[in-house]
Amino acid sequence: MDALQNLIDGFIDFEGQKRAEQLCNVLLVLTGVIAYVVGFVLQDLTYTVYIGLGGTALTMLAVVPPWPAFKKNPVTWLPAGTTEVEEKKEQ
Amino acid sequence: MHSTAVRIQNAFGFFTTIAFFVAALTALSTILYPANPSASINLRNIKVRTGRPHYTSTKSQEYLLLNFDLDADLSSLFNWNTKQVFAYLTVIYGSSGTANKHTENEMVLWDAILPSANAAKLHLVNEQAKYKVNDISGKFLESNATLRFEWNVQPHVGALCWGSIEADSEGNVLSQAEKGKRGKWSFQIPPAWGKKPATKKAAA
Repeated sequence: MDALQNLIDGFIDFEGQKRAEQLCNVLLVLTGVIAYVVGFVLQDLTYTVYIGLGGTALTMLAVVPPWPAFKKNPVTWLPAGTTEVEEKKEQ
Repeated sequence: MHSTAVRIQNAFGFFTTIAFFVAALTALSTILYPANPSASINLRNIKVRTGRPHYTSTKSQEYLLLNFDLDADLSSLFNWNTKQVFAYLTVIYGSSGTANKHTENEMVLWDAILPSANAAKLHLVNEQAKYKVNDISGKFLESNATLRFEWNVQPHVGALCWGSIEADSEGNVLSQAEKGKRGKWSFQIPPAWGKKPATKKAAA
């Protein structure tokens, strides 16, 4: 059940979040440019539509699942009980 | 971007932005394709007949019937962002004198949907007007009429745009400064059943 929950949540680490965002922006801009240029050169708007939709689907596939590449820099927490907790001073 | 749901939202949100810009650039690219449509019209067999608008009607009114030759080339209106072109032929006439208070009249005689550049070269010979034309008052009063060939470009993305070619009786183009037009574009609406007007009889 936890495994299923992890799959749905798909949490990735901070470094992975930065990479995912950059990848998403670059791929989508590239998709838009290629779609426009191909449609313009071939003089057919259907190429633009299908390249745009296809590129977006590929971007989704690359960015949305929690790929191992997005989990390479896990946050390392300090082990429990290694810091002293200051006692509250009564006033 | 920490979870699947957020990544889906962000990717889709940016996709809509990209789609908007691609669509906007597509709409703007239309200005790169200047069009030079041409048309020539020759009118044949202009006549006015009287009839009833419906068989239960007792009111008799005049109908303008005409045939025309049309040579037009609208293929230059087609580019990658053109879905189809709607072409139509309009008859325009003003009323002569004060008998008719409706001084500006426009009616569509004929129209066609042109789905591709191949279909946009029109060559019609002795074509009958598609729609029956009658005046709002029921009488044309032998007004002077002009034909105008018009078109409406419907793009895949962007704004609709209209254009027209109008000419006088010598085939001189009156508007839209297009070249290469010939033919009879303007005429006087004849009396019903071809009868001579009463005033001319009196003069003779």
